[in-house]
Amino acid sequence: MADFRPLPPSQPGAAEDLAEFGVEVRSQWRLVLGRFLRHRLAVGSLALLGALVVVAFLGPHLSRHQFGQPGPDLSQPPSIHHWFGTNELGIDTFAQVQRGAQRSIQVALLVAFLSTSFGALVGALAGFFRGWLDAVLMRVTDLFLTIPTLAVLLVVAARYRGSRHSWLPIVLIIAAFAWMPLARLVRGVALSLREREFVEAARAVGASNTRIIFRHILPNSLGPIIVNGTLVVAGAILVETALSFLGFGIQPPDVSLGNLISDGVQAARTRWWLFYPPGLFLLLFCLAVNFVGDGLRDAFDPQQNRVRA
Amino acid sequence: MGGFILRRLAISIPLVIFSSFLVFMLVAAAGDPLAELRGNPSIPQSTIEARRRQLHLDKPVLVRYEMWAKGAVRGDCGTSFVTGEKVGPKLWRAILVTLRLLAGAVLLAVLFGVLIGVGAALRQYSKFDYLATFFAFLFFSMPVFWLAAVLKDVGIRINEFTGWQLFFTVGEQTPGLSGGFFSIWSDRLGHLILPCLTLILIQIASWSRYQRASMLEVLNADYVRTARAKGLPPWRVITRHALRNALIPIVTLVAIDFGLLLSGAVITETVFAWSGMGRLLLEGLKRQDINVVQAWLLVSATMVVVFNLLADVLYGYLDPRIRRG
Repeated sequence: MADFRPLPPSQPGAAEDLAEFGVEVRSQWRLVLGRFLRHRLAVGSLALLGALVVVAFLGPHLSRHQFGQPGPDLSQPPSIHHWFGTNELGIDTFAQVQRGAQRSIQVALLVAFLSTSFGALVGALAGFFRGWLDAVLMRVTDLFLTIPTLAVLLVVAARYRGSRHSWLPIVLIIAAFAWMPLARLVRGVALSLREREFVEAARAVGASNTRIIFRHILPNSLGPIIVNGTLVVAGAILVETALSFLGFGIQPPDVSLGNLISDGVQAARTRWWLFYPPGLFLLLFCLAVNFVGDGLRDAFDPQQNRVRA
Repeated sequence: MGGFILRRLAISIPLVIFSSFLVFMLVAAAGDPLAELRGNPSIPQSTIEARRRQLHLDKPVLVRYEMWAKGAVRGDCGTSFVTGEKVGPKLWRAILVTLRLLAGAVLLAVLFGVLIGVGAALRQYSKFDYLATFFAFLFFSMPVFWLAAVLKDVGIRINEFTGWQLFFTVGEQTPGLSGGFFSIWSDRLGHLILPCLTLILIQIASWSRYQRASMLEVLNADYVRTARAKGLPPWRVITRHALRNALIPIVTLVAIDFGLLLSGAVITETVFAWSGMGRLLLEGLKRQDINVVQAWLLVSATMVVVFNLLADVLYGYLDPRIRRG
């Protein structure tokens, strides 16, 4: 579903700062890293994520088959030659899944980058300047939130059906509807940061508004920004594959995990190897991203929801 | 309370107007309803021109918006470009089909979501809590279309294995089925099970997590400690003091999500071939039936705003701090 809202944390207060009484001077990033590494599930997920990305992008070097290349073995079940079997044209499913994963991961990362930059900027401007700019920006954010995302994505994507280089427009339109939660989040952080002493100090020594926003406000809201960015990656890959599944996303001959699943769905009963591998890849990828995001959230903000048992 | 509702309405109505405008512009910019005619070389230019005038496509987009909005306010969304049917009744039929799917699914998902969330909060860090967390993350990460297709596959396999038509996987009812009230509704129920299950699993994942978080917060509140300290039975503290307050965020969340689900069930409906809102939108898009698409988007955007308003009002009603704030 077109949902960029994160789940509440899985282990509130689990990552407590054990090194509280240490005398060693540590930077904030070392602390965050330390806390993250104690979250075993998140570290495991990061490793899995790395493995999935490597499998996807080392595609041509891992197997002898190329994506989109028909071969002599038609509709073969998985074997040593074809790890995930072949389809009715003799195209190797493993090569297809690798290629589809590449596209889907590219789209997701680019969407996360674009929507995060835009959302953070909007939020920082609204929170820092307050007043009419804040009012206008937040009303626009509300407006975007009332629009049924998936439906509008379908409408806009319908325009690009049939064009061969369809993945860049897809990225832009998904990003255009993914930035709102972060803008609200950063606005809240900026509203509180702008009243802090270090911002006052920066202003006292004559720092410009631009400098204060980019050197003080944004770097100090990096925690929520990064956590949200991770979750947008998972959300974006689900939205892109859903669009492709419905036939409005990545267009053939290019493949995404979404249209692979859509092609395989008819064959689920007779040739399961066309249907299950791309779906499992997608599921594992999203699961790993969400667990990493959860670990990062605990690492950046160990105080939140701390519960006395 | 009356003033609070009025304040909220004052925000909601302009929101619907702006969002209808945005939606109209998006649809107008995104497609060309005459593309099919243009693509056909045997159709003369004059026919295309006549069609263009008939659909008012020769007028500037703002004028078209005015005409469309005036009709929509009176409840007239125009006629389908493709079949010539009135869009309003068509849309209404589709909404009823989708509501049949959503009503049961949302009810069950809320029930189980709350039970699982409260259970996990009461036994934090127990085996049950970890299991609930794992499944919530699993279904939260699950692509809806894949889950729906897997359930469909499993349903068909079970049917084959038992030799009984236990699960129906296509459509919302058997076409042409005649019979009494009972046989029609048992047939409809059979068609409901799998698509409902898809929506339920996905929604439980999200709602149980929110319920758990809000229950944990309340359980640590001072008034719960007070209630325990004055010696109330633990069960009474949990149900009367903690749960009542922990339900407030969920009520509003469910209201907001219900508005989104009316348009969000597109994928589930597509996989199970329901002729609800999902099919209407997808077919409208594929044939560039602009009136259908625009009416569809207007209704869904309005639903989102209405249910957001409902959520606000409910929140204000349940939590007096909000309506005074």
